[in-house]
Amino acid sequence: MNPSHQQPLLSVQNVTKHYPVTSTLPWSPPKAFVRAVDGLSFEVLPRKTFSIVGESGCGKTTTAKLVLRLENPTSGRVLFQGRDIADLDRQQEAHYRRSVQAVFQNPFSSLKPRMRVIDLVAEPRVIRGTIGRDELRREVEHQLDAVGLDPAIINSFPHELSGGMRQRVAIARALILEPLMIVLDEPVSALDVSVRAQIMNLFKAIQDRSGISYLLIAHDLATTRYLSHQVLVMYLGQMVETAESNELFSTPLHPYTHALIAASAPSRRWENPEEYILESDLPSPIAPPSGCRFHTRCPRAFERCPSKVPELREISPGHHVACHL
Amino acid sequence: MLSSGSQNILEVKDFEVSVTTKRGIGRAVDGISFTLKAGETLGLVGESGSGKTLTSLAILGLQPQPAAQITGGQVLFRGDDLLKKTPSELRHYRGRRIGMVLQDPMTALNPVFSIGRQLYEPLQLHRHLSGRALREQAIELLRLLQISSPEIRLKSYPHQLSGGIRQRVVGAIALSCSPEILIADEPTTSLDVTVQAHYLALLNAIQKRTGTAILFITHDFGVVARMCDRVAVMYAGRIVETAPARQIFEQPAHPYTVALLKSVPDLTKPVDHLPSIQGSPPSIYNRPQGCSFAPRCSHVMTKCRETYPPETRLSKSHVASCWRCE
Repeated sequence: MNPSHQQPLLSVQNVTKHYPVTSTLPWSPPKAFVRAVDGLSFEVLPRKTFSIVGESGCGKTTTAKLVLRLENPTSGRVLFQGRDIADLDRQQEAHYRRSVQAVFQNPFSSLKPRMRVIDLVAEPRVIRGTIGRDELRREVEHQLDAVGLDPAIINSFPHELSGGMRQRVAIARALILEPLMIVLDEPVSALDVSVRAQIMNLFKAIQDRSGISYLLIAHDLATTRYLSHQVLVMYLGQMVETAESNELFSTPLHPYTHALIAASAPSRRWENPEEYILESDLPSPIAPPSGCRFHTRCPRAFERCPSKVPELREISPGHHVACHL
Repeated sequence: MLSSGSQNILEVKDFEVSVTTKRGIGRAVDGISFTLKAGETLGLVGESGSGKTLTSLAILGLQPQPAAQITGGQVLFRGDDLLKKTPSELRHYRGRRIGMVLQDPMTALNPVFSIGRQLYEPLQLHRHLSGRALREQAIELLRLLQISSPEIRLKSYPHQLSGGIRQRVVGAIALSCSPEILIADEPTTSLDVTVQAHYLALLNAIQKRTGTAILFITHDFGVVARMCDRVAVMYAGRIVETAPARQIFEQPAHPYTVALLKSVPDLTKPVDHLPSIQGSPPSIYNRPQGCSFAPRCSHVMTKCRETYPPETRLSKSHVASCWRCE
């Protein structure tokens, strides 16, 4: 899992999250469980970007919530700097909250419309502890400058800003506490194409400058490849393949990874009309298919797939895949 | 399709739509012209705010009124100007001869009516079907869109279906009266990549069979490459470049098209640095004089800031509005 044997910043160990499906009567026991995340393990290294990709409903956002401690895992542990985050005392928790920040998909809904930019960016800093008014303003201006915004917009409201500027405000807000890691949940998918590249370059520049780690949740593979060092592919709550980014995209092993890459590669009408297209529907995570969960949509499924769960095997250093083939 | 492939089925000429709000009057669609030939797919590509969605709505008189008003131009459907039609005449075109698929299938479908009822509506209204014929036609449409067990789906409600199936239902409704033109406004933006690939392949197959012309509105060049025969690139209310899809990718002429194509990371090889376009598109209330892209353009000349460049014909089918192409 960890080729360089660096101490991981965040370590997710065999984490599972099941949500109960409540029946019509609120007091009766749950009918079933949605297995949003099922036995997931990965590590985020310092100064690196770790990405989780998959279709909607595969559990990637649930994973982000578990890491942010917005949800508690049903089983398994999430360790940050070696400590279980479910088990921190007050002071340690404050440190954890400070060290792990988040930037969400939609800067139109993640910024409170009635707060000015200065208050939005300053809010985390004010919560952390007392600070003088002037010093606070200086810090906010510094952060705005760091994300490429003109400090003159400090008194604007979010609706006065474009989508790209709003996302920059959200990033400044995450950066003001100088975190060690930022969870990026689809950070560019709500933005315009021409603005996406700016924001992606900003993420890279911040990482080069401050050595921050990112946990990137995305469904767009091109974005993922551009930003990440390590990639994990999830399907119906389970990991199907994980590898170093360039290796995963150049030599994908799992048929699902193949299909994902084929679906998002710029297939050109005038070049190759032949391409493999997945059956479009994801099975229900309440009753996932037996054996390999992907066998119902897999073009290369054979007898063993529906009956036996494939184990995660290491094919080459750092490249793990769960497939019978 | 019996008619010849090169016949213009839709011709939009100097089309203008203005939007009036508290912030003033903005020309959201600023004199655009394009043609759609029978059986082809034309991609209208642009970022949000470029006016592409408003164009698609206003063609059928569906622009949000009274804020948006058509202030000029012509929309010729087989030679008839749609802008001169009365509302009741327009209704014979909407759904019947020009079908539409909108971006978000959850808002396009009415949540309180079953799929069947929503699918029956255009069939009853435009094709006067009833009874068994109606039901059979509806089932056949769902089959056409590869929806499994269509008999059961007719009784389902939108919330019971996944996004991909919902969007296919919307497609079935749009295609129900075998329209001559299908306007698809970002139909796959809210779908997963795998579902998107499936939907686009389906749309391609249906087009091959029925010969429907498609006006495909999108911001995604990946989708353009999959779907379109020709592409019109929009920026700030104007079409800046029109060309066959292949030429757009291989020899883009307008600096905006070039920059936009470059700013999309390549999945097939590692990329170290992504060139990005600085700044953001201008507000419609405050467009720069001259070329709207000039403030963000890396090849800007003095002339660009003064006068809007005329269209330059680079080849038979390749047109761009840029002083550099002169």
